[in-house]
Amino acid sequence: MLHKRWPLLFVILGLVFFVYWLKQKEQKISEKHFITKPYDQPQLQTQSYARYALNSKPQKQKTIPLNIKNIQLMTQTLKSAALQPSLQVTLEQLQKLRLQPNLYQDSNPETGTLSVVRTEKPFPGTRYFHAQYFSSEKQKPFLQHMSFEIPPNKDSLRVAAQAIKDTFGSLPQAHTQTANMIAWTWKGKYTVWALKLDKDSLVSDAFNAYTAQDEGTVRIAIELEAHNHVHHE
Amino acid sequence: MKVFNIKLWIILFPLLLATNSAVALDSYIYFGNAFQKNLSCQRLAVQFSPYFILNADLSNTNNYLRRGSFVDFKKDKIIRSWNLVTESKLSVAITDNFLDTAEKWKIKVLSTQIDIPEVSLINKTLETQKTADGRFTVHRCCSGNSCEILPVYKVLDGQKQIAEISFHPKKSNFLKSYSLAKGTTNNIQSLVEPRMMVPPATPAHATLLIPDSVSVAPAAVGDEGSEQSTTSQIAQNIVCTRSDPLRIYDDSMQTVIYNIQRFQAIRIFQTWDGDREERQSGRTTYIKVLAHNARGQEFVGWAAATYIKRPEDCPAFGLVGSPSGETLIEGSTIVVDNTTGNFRFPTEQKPSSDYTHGAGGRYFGASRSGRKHAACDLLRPNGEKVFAVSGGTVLQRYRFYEGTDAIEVKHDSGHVMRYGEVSTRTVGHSGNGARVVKGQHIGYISNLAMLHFEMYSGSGTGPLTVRGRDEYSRRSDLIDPTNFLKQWEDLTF
Repeated sequence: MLHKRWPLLFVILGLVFFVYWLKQKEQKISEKHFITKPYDQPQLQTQSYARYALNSKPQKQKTIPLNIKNIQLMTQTLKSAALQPSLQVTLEQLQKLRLQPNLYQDSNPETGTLSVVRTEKPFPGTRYFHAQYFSSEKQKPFLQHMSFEIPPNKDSLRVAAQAIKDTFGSLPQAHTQTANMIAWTWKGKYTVWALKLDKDSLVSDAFNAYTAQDEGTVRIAIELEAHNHVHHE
Repeated sequence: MKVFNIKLWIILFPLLLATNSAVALDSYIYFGNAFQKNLSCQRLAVQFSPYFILNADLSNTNNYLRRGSFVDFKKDKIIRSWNLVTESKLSVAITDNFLDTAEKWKIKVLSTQIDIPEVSLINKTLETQKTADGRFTVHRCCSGNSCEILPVYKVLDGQKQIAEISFHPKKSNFLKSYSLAKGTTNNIQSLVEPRMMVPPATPAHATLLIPDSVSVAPAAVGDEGSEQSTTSQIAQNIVCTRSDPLRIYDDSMQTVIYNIQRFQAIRIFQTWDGDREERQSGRTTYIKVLAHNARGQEFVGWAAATYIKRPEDCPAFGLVGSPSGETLIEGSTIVVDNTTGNFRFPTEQKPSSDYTHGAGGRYFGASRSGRKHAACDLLRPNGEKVFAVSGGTVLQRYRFYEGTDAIEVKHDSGHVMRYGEVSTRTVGHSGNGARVVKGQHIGYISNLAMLHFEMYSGSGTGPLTVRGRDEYSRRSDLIDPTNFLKQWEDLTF
């Protein structure tokens, strides 16, 4: 009888190995976040990063290639978020992209709750995703600002503008167009813009971390029209 | 035997896998410590979507979960922590009512996790008294005019532990921080009044809001440097160490370039390739970070990733919370303000354009596409300072418009002001809830070259922007700031 059960043993062994392989694979995925970049022995150099990051001389900047496909995908995320301004949907979408969204909330009895969504991991080719939703007990969360950034590159602003045009379709003429910024009104209540960040903007930023090498980074954003562009004409 | 037929197994195997998945989905929630297991929420729903959401209506229950509390979701072998997302539905356990100066202060207990009538602390006020070593220990419970000795303690794993709330006034006169320290069980018997003791048969009896993981040595608070701040920095991670400062190393990993204090805000660099900048040294993972000192100087280097967390994920920070009106914005200057009255004009000089009427649409009520202008635009050059018009408390600050920020301040007069289109880098390393005084430097004119100044009476609540509510798309208590500004302008210049 035993010889008749050999196939069965193979099947069982196969199953065991298959399950083991699945578990290993799952574990690898879950541990992926903790994979670190190789770091050799402690180096002796001490001057690679300036202590005062933005007041230091920018080092020779190496051009970072633009990932146009991903820039367009993230721009599409901005549009989707504006069309369906739901905090939960945004979180779910970011989760699907495996960006590990973090939700930060700050409430006060006067002006309600400010929910800021940022991601633990950036989408390749972009970074510093940032979204702001306001809400109160009487008011559902609404999107006030959502943005991400693309690398400094001589083509960054042009690529950003093209991504916005491609994604948002028939936009009216840009209400702001300078060497560093382009902005459109969308659906009458949003403004969509791309802005090249200069040193002042980097220093002023209250959320992100920059060094002098980041000058020229372009931020792509959609915002609830808070002020109105006629001021800048 | 038919049961060993390989074809049968081919059919059964996917079914088994499916069953296994179903079991994995049958996840459960557990709470961080012994008390929280006893939570009895009126409604509790867990949505097992890719993103875990906990909806808990805790109203009318005696829980001490609050904003900053964390709940662990355990699914299969992966444990994920997430803060409770609906703050309004949570009972806030304690408020900081600093009725007096740093010499003496009181806290009022709003709720406890489990309320036992004989020893209930609800709606009672705990009074502090200065101790010989300069810390302040909660040890009196006041109800009406009478106060009685009462320790603050918690029960963890069946053992009672004294919780001592203390803070260190440091060099300034303002309250900076306070933290918790565990006592030993040996001390409890002598400190607890007999009638206050929990009957032996009573199960775990929690009193105050003490997250389980808090274990701060009392001396640590006093040892910390003067640069420590109690930030409630929105959307920034903080240093979450047990007590020590966190070292930031330079590239060599040999030199410490800055010791960042506990609870200070810290920013993490992201790369363009879908990750954060990390390196491994020994068993420790270091990430590239940016920190500021109290003077606003920047430090870029490498810090141990383990100790950098969201405020919500740092239980000890929840105890410090937002500065409650006594902490000045750090790194900020106060102009010598010789103007009379309680208000001053918010800019350094008179606006370069008329904000009361006329061309340019800078005035309140000016026509906009489909609505009216809800502010006065005070035109000034980029880089000039913006001042608080009066004393008050920072409510929120956030990205506002085309790369600029807004800062909302609740002033002592009751008015809420939105200082829009500014750069808030002055308050970049301090938190909401910070105290400002009249004339305090709270921001800079941005590259849009104006201060967009909105004013609210303070009678309303909720977000200041209410799209489509009326022609201004603002909250109902929006008021015209023109006459106020004119008056302050006359006082200031």
